[in-house]
Amino acid sequence: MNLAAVKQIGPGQRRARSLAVIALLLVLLAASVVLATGMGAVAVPPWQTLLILLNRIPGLHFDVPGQYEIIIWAVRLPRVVCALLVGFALGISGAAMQGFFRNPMASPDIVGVSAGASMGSVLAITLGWTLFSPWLLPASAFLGALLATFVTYALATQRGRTETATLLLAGIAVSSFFSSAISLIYHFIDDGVLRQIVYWLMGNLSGKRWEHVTVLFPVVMAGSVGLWAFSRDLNVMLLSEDEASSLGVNVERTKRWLILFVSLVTGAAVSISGMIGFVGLIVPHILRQLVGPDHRWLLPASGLGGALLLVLADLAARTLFAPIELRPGIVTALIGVPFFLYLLAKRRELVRWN
Amino acid sequence: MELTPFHLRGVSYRVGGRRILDKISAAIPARRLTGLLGPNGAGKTTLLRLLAGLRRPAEGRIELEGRDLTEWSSADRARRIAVVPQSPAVGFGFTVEEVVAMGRHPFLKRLQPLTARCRRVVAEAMEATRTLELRERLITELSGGEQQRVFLARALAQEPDIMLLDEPTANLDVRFQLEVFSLIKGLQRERGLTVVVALHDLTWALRYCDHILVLNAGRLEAAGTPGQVLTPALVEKVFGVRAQTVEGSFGALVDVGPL
Repeated sequence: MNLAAVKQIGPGQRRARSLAVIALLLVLLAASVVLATGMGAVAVPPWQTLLILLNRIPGLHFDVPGQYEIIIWAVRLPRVVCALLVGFALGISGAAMQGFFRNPMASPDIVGVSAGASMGSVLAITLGWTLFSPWLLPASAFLGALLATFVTYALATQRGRTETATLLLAGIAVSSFFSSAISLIYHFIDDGVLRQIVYWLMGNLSGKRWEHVTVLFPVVMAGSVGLWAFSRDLNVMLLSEDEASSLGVNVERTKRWLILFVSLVTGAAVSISGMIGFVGLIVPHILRQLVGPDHRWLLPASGLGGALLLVLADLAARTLFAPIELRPGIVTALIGVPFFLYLLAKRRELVRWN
Repeated sequence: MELTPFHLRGVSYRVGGRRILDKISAAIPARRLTGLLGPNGAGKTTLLRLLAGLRRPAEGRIELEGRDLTEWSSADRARRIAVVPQSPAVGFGFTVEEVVAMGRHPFLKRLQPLTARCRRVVAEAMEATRTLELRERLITELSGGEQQRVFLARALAQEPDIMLLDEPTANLDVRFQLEVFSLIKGLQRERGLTVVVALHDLTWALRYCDHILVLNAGRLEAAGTPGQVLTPALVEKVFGVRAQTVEGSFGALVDVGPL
């Protein structure tokens, strides 16, 4: 055996490039957070924003105007952090779902998982569970997401293969079912709750506070770490279920874990922000071009890409037509729909992806 | 090591009431190249899937070293048995090296990077199949013959003692067929592997196999050495052609003609 050959085997160029992409995303994300917290009705210069953020590090102290500190710390930052976490959740679950369904058109909103999570959330709001504990909303969203993923998977997958057409149809069916169920609930509630629900459903990040972050952060991180732990199994499952099984993957058990983690992450995101579409579709697609199909890199990169996209989309939504505030979901849809149509047009090529 | 790693005892398999395999009892000899012959739809692929532990028999049992194969965990199986499917999935833009390294999956814990030993095994597998120079190419860019060698390399990276191959030369031109078969035979001899290969070409079966199982409509029609099994009567019965074994200048071959 020649030793030179052994030395060649290993991480290689892909890892170097993936690390570079992830580092770049981290830098861009940090910059966009500073930018987004600074911009708004009261503009805070970016360097002031940076100092305010750095002030929180023990041992550092910078003099900054007090009213800036309140705006940044109490009002804007929790919202931006929520956007970041929701975007991260949507990006990483989109990447995991595309691998899991072995289909590039899969994403939480298209597969109906977001609708399931919405249904769970609406139920929780309607029944007044949110008054008891801030955790009941995401818990209920998680159960809705779990149900939706499971139903779509059962409908769309035969012998471990998911045809794009079947997946889209099953997604439409599942989404419509949950939307109808939500509409049904409208008839039985009073106007105050109805307004609360409709406002929430439209996909919204305004008025997010630190307590939302407290709920979102641990759930999204736990689910993401869970997904990441399965990244090598996801790689092997991209080939085919039989091949994965002959390479030692317990396919059925792995699928159950993946459904669980995706539902957890998506459920948490939807329970905080309502439905925000297309992040989970676009981001993994673009990042797959940059880092390749290896989920060990693709999952974290998609999370960071989703976070970056949603922080910027929310910033655009808040500032483009100020004082009118758009929903961030509109911005992501305006970018996402053309992208989706482009993917559909390319579908013949994408089918070969399987 | 036992002389017969696999024992099939009255194995049947059905799909939606249709019998694909019917009460097959056979032993696969250890450290030999066993050929699985039979017309299209005879159940060769299904039998390989059962041997790989990817499907459960409807009746009967398959024993690997005396233990029911369905009791083996998928990771334990994967450390012993490597499978080269007929048309492996090739999409998704993995590089050749990434595909071969997947053979190490059953040996690694979650998120554990390739060990030094893994890298050595992967490099050896690629060297043995002459895929080392294709290392950084995307698997989708390769020709059929090159892809076949890559999947052979992935199987070798599992360090199996049993290899199952489903028509490894389907869709390959004659040069690649010869290349793939002599590669498989060479590896089998060198490493003392137990190999089961489904194939169509009677001449390759005659030249390369030590042992042959013939399936016909889900039943085991014959088992034995190529000389015992590939008789004109059997070939006529199973394949519906006339056949005779003749000595060609490059070795024995099965000459066939219409009935």
